[in-house]
Amino acid sequence: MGVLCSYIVQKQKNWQREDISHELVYNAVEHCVMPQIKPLIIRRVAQTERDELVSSKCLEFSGVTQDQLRVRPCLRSNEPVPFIEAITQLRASYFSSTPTDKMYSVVGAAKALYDRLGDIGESSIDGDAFLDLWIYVIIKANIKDLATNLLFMIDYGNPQLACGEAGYYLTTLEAAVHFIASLSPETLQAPQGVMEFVVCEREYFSSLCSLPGSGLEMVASDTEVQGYQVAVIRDWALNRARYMTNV
Amino acid sequence: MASRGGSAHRANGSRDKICHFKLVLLGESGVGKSCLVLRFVKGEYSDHLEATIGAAFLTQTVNLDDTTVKFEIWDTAGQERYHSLAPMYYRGAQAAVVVYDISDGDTFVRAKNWVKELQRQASPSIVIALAGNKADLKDIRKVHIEDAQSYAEDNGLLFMETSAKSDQNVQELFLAIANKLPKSASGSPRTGTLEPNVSDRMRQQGNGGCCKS
Repeated sequence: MGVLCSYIVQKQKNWQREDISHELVYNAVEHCVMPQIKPLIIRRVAQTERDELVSSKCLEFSGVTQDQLRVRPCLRSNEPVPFIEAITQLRASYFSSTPTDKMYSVVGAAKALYDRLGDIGESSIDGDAFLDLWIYVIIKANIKDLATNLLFMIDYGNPQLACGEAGYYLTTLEAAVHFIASLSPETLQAPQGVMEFVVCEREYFSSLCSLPGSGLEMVASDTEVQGYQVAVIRDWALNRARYMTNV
Repeated sequence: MASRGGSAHRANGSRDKICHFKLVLLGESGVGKSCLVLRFVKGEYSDHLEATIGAAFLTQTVNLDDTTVKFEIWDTAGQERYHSLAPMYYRGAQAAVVVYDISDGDTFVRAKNWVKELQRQASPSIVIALAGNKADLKDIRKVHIEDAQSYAEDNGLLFMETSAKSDQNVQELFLAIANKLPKSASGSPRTGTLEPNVSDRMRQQGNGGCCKS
């Protein structure tokens, strides 16, 4: 594909005496060619076992907190769904048809993350801090066939982007996937402050408990729990829609 | 991975070759990697860069006599728990800056390990520079300049003591790297100015994103 693009760029230069961007040509050629051969390529780069491993890890650690992943306190988002824009943008990469478009989606997700950090006054962060957050976003996004899609981007994306910004964020995605694949409870930081809490609302949480990866466990109604401090969450207590507020 | 070439017009009308080089920053967390690169790229320094609030990916150009070198600077994750991921970052890099803190002997030991690893696993032609950062902290120096200098000479590294805070040797370090990089090894020159980065291109495409279903 690269050779074909170079040929078109050179021909245009020789015949029309005008320069056209190699990247634009690459994109056009890719959109023309890739839909025809994508199923074949995907079969070729399929990483079925790795996909399952990464997906199962994302599911297992879906309840992970920013604290457990050692995200610096100043960079943490306390929204109900932290970094939702980045998560959404990253999920969109699955639906992009060409590897280069997928790379752009990955860059878009990184930009969404920076935008959110900008909102909390920390728009410029280093490699360590970025990776901490990026791992969090990827776990929460839990993208289908992530390992396969990653290899698809690396092997078939525009190679001219490899050393640039897109290449950087693709590499951080690769690094994060590698980290997630080997993630274990021991590698997580023990949460500071509240480590575990018991909610006395069986009916309210029963369906949520049955969801895999919810991080919630239903205990028998006659279980005696010890070592907990009694507390009330003010927002819950003031919410008339909730009929029980014990925690 | 080969560097990419291009060309650009200078103000005097001469046409320069543009060479793109991937440069990775390595070093323990807290040695000032991000401060160093921010000083190089933006000319800024802040005491409030608490444990490196900096930038993960930045670009900066250096003009040489007949060539413009464009550095694509990759900040790596320096924490120990991410150590196994480092090869993914320095894969295909043409230059590396290994940073240590002159006021912390452990960071020099760690820097030497990074150098060893690069020599073993990175591209054989990679240009490695050793930067003894925080040179303004001479009073609490733990790493003697002679030791670092001799280590660098023994291993064929560029070496400078730098201070992002006082802007000591920062431009000089990157200029020395640019001079040492093999410009003749660049790919076929590409006509045109420096290409916009991917995010700029995405913005030009509109709708705030780039994904197409």
